Amino acid sequence: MATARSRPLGFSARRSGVLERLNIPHMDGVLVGSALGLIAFSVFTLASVTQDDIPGQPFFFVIRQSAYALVGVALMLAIARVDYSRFRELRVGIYSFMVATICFVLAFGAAAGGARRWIELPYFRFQPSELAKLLLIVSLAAFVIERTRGGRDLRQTARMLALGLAPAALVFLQPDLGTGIVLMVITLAVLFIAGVPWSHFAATAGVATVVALLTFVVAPTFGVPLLRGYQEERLTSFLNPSDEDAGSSSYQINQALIAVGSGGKTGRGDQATQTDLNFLPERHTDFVFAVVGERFGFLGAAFVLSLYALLIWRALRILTLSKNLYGTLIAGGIVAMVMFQVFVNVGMNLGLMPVTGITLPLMSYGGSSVLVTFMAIGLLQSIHVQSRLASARSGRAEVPLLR
Amino acid sequence: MRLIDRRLGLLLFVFLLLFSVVFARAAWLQGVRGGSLRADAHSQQTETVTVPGQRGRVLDRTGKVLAVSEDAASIIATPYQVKHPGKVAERLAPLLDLPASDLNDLLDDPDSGFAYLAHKLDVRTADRIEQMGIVGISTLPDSRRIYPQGELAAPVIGAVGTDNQALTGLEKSENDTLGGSDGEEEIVRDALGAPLRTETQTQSAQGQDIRLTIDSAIQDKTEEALSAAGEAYAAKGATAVVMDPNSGDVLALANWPSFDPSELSNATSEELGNRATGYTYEPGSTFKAFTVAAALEDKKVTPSTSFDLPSTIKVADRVIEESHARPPVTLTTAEILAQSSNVGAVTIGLEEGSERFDHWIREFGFGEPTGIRYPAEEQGIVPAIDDYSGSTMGNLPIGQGLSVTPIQMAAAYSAIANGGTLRTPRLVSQVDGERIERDDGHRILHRSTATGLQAMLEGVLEPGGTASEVSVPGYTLAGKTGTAQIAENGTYSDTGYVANFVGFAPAEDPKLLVAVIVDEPQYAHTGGEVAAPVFGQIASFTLPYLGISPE
Repeated sequence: MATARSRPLGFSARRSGVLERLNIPHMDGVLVGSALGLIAFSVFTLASVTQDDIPGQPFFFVIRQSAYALVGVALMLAIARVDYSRFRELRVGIYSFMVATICFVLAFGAAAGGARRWIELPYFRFQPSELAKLLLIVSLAAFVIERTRGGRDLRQTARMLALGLAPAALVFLQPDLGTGIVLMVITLAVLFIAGVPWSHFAATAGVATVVALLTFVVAPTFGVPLLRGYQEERLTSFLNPSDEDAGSSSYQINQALIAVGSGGKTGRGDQATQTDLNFLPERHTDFVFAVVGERFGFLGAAFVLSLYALLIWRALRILTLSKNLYGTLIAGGIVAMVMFQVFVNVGMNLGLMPVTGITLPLMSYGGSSVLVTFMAIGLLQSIHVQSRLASARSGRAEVPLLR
Repeated sequence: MRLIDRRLGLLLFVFLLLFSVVFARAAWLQGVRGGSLRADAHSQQTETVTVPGQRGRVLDRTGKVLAVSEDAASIIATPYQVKHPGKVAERLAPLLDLPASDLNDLLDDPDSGFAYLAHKLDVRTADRIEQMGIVGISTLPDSRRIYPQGELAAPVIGAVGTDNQALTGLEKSENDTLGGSDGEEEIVRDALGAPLRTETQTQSAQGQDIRLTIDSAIQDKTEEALSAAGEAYAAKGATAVVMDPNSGDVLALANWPSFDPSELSNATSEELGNRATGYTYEPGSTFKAFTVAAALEDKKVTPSTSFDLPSTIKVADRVIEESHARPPVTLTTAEILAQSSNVGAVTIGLEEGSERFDHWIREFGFGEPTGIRYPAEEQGIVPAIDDYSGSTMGNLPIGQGLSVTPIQMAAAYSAIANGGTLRTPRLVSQVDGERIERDDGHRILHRSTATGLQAMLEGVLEPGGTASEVSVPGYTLAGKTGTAQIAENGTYSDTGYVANFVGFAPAEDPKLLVAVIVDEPQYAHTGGEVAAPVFGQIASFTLPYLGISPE
């Protein structure tokens, strides 16, 4: 068995080369390529629009985003080397760590704009709720597998839901509506892939409806507002985007719409006045897609969307390749996370979705988001690598559902 | 199919669905709606501002500036951008000279995107406000009209409105010359409203000057004398025309009451109007000069022809009396004029006959606008000969039953004073850099007739004349008084009079002609008492001022 010849699947038994050591030949190149394409386009876009944002530091955002990208790629490679299955045993520790960091930030986090979301680190402001997305996927997937052995009754589903919604609720309290919603979506996605019966989802939807009614209708009627004013406004304002008040959500959406539309088919390039004249809010973070739309037009928007399509397609493909259910659930959670963030953020930029403060993975400027997304891709790569290694060991040819 | 594969298939379906929705939406926004959204971007990022082209100046005959425009600024606000309306109002109030509460009302309106805080602010104050750098407060270029001589000749010059649009007077009628053409600038603003750059779309152009025949010094004295009389007799209104009878140049056109052009909103429509050209009145006895002129020219009478005049004279159903009852008397033509005999004038008029009389009053220009370059000139009313009733010739020779304007009287008397030539009076001497020539006029009287009349009109200011109390030492004056009862509801009023006087000097070689009309004076009402002294005051200043040496 142990010959010096390389196997048909392309990994050498002499695992001495750096590439081999990093499992690079076993990674999904298209996935890495689309991720690198997005982060490169992000840096390129930031370079063209943020030069005057910080006086005297024209490359402030470019340098930082590039650094995050480098660290992110390193983290991706590191995680890809690890067999993700080992995280299953650590589920309690991971889950506890996640809850602890969110609680820590609630108690001691740096406040900005009325919200406590960050932990100040040297050179970096870390946002635990971003990392929580990944930690929740990894730990919840493990808990779900644990519990499915005990049967698929509604009580188990409720427990799993509670495990997922607890950190979501804590994040809501920061308050960070967007990330909270992402955590909820992740929870539902993991349960969905795990095969929780539709009836359980229906029950969940029923409970959610009651809660929503209590939050939006009953509680305010009795003078107990559960949502902060701006949160409620954000959620409802996309219904009437003609409101002209500067700074309001509908104003932001309207400005994004004008920016995207102004770009036309091929973009306005340096004539991108919506961006240059500061009409577009949060142009380096939440509304970076509108910047792309204005500067590079439909061509640019289609390019970015295609990279995301590529990325999500490869993630779905990895989901089917996984050697075990744990990998499938992790990949499912990640796919749901990325898909949801992309469509909610782009939808917001295109006036289809409310302003929720959900970032565009890899395109939006921000260390926590970039690092966590690369880590998620690292996990996907780990699943890919492990499946390749496993099939190589078993001699079984891989038969992916999606090619 | 495994459960997980079915679920995966659903996930894939959702992914494809969402992807197509987003793709289609982007294509719709950027492909179909791109143009209109780009227009939206343009309209919210830029603001088109009108840059006023400054109006030309109004100069008097010596080049003195009567009206000029200077740069000014409007202060505008974008209220929803103003962070602390109360504080901003406090800071701006002293500079804008407005109550802070008023400003606060304008600024404290988050629904408003535009408000004018001040118009026509001087440039220095506007610069100070600009330098404060208050978000939501900015300035727009504007221009304002300055009248360096204050109220001088205000109703003649006219007025412009807040947007520098011509409203009345010469400002309006000469607007083609005076009015500049506005330019347009496009200001590119960032989201906070801070202007980033300005692009000129159309260049503004300045208006051209006009020059008047009016002399500020004479105008000033005329207004002074007129308002003194108007106030002393608590008149309803008054006007005076000062002319060079030889050239037809109007040296002064005064109106009382007048208005302050810098406080336009306080002016009434009566004050805004120029009575000299826009007011009509029954001239009364001042008109007798034309009755006599017609008879002289038609050789029906000579200055020394005697008339045996009864106390009254009956024409059809009307009995004409003298202003002061007297026994029957014999008067010469000259005496009839000097003593202003109604019976005498009617007698001469009847001698002349209605047809010739009608010919002559039209010859003197009555019933037609003089054609002076001034807007909305009235033409007065001269009855058509076909409309004459039996008593008409008992009215017209003494200046009743017709109406005239002050400028018509001044022009017609000028023809007597200058030796017989009727000219269109000239008020504007230069427009758009081009001289406006004097009217050559046309001769309507023989020189001898004119000189004869001049001599007769001297008698009015001599002892026994109706204006004997008026004199200017060193100069002989000539003229004619008029005291017309105001017609009300078909009868003549016993209380309302128009006191008027037309005079010229020096009598032998007239260089100055003045018509003074005082509408409804109180306390006294005759032209000799009320109007003639105004002529005296104007003449005593103007004759030496014009360099006419005393005899």
